[in-house]
Amino acid sequence: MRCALLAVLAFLSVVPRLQAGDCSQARDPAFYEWKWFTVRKVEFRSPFNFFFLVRQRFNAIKDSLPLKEGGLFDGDAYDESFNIVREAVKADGALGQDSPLKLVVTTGSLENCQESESGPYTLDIVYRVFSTDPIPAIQATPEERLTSGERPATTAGEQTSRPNYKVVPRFGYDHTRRGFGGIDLSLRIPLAYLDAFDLSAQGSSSSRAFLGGVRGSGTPNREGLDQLDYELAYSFTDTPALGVRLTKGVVHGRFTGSSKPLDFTGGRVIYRYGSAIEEGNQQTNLSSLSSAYGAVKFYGGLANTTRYSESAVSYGLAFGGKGLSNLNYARHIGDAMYSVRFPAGTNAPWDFAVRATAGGITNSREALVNDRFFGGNTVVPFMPGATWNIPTGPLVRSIPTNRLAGDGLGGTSFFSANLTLGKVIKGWPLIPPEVEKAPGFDDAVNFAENTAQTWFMDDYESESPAFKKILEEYPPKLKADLDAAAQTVASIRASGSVSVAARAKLLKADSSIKVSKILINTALDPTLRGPDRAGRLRGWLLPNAALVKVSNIFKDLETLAPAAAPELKKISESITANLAGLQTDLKAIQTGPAHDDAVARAKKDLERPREVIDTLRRETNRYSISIVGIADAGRVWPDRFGTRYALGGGGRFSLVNVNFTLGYAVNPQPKQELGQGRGALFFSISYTNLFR
Amino acid sequence: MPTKPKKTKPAAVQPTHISVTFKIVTPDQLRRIIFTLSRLVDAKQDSWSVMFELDERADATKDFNLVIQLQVNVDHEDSDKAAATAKNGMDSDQHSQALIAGDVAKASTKGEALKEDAEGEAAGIVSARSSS
Repeated sequence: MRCALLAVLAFLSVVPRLQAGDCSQARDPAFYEWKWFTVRKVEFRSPFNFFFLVRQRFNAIKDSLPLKEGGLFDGDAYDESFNIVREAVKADGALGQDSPLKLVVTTGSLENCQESESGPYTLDIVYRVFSTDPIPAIQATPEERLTSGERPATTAGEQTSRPNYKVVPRFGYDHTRRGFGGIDLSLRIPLAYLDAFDLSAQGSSSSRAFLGGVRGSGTPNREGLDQLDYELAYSFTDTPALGVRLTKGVVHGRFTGSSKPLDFTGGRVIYRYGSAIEEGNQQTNLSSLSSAYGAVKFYGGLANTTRYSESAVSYGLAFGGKGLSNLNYARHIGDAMYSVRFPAGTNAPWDFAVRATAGGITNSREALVNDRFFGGNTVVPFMPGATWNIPTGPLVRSIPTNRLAGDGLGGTSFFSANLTLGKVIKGWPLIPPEVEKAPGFDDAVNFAENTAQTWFMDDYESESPAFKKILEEYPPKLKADLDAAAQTVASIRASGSVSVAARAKLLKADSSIKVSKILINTALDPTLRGPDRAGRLRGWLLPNAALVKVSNIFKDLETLAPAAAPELKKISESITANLAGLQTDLKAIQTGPAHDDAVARAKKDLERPREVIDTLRRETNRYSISIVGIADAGRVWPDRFGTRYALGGGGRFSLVNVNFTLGYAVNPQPKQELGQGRGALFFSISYTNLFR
Repeated sequence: MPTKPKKTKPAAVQPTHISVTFKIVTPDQLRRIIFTLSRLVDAKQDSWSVMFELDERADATKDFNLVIQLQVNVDHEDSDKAAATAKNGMDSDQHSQALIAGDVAKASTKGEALKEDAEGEAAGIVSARSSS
């Protein structure tokens, strides 16, 4: 959990492009007030301005500022406006999901001052907002990062914001399905165990698809089950293949779980698993092949990510038949993928991805036509609706969907191998070079990294047995000192002969004793975590700490209340001695193995966030354009034409880590009789693995 | 042949206001501390201020409730420490002082400590710095 939280920290490097600060008195707002400057523009800059919701929130903040565009510039209003911006940005969860660890850096500056005598005198007010919040937008499963499909391109925005409903139009073209269009609707459900109601419908002159259902998710936060999602839905598909229509309508229930990440040097591994049950019917235009349908599915796999590479292996097993009571064949599918980008430390890297998939059916004579293997430039996923995508056929991007079908009715086994190579030819860095040099930016990065490391180091150190011993020893001793101190103050007052100076000191003593008792009582509170209580002890020794003040005030009182001097001296010395003992013991811890261990653990905790920060600062583009080359090989059995190939290329536009690839793949051995032309367009949406 | 005008490098921006906010939820998920260090720059001097906020909740699945928010100006004598904090992060003494400031801030809302004490402890987060 801690590492996950720390990952959030990493997104502080979200910095916009800076403009020239061409104001002669940029650090002196009063100058522009005296010269009667007018505010030309109030501007918010953030690399996430391309999210509609972020822009909307900035506009709302702008409307609330006392400084208005077109109005006279006023120094006090400028200061007040900055405070409003700072508080609004800090508190606004709409700028990203609220996270347990967050850093926000906000700057305000005067820019583009028109100071020439010809006038008019105008200036711009620019706020720059760097927030860690939008990081959920660049998290995705391995399959989301490397997938071929037709998902709409709004994922980054969706993951950053959480609207109550989502309507996404979908359209596309595929030789098999022709031009198709439709809509996806998702409605949030405010229930404990359900997240959303989903409805999706698409159609074309040759195909239809519908899905409607409810889904939910949970975070059991256990080693073997950290995340859980589930779905109950009805789906219907009607797609042509070669000379046959594949129609299927089923109700399915599905759950998928994943373990907590297992971190090791250079990478992290999670394992995933799930199960699904389906029942309905499957039909074709050949009535002899239509029947009831039932399936029970199990799937599992491992995903490993490092800073620059990603790999995943998955296995799916489905028992199918003419209804759940008649499961008489089994489909086995194995899938492995690997992707890497190189070299490190550049905004224009190469990327390489390879994927191999194979499957087979046992007792294949009984296999229903919809469960046989069909290939082409899109392939039906093993679990419809899930982000974890195991293909159920060969992906060959030069052949239209379902046209790699053996003799027409699909295969009983298949394999495919896919290779994609890309190179960024033009990138617009997320953080432009001039921002790296902007005052405050580097400091903010250091502040966040070092503060987080210190807090975690202190927490680990406070868990040590030596710290526990200190916690047991000193708070009770100092509590006794404070009780005696309070009694002594009361008895001095009760003695009646108190000078004005002594009275003032006694008041200060009261205040410091009160505060000291709060500290002691907190340290003794058994309901608080031990490390949290122990973490406070360092503060007791600071020069302005309340306990130190009590001791010092009592020393001063010795001359002002001579009758109580022996008692005052005794208490003061006792407090001083206890604090000295505490200091010695703390120093021993800070120079011992517990400290070294805590430093090492905290450093390890920060390893990934520091990597992420580095990636964002030196490798991430806001937008980029790449060239892409692809090569595929795949086949089904039985198929008299053997293995098919695809060779092609195209272009890719990337928005942060979301990639949209469009290209054309040539089919070197077209089989016109199987509806295969000389090639096919391919389109995919994938995600670059920016972080392990 | 006319020469192509050279592109001028953009000048570094000189912000008049910089604010760094660090928010952390304690490991038991029940307390949230928000620490904001702000710097105001003008022609004469830099001035620093600290905002300290404590939020709590009884149940880790519920929303946080604000316990107290304190805003204090940093003594000019501590400006160097404030600058060092903004540059290098909080050190262990400042971490400890932040926890103490939270305790005293909470006590002040119950009348067990004065608000001035709470403000003093919050301001002490900066002055607690022991490293440079």
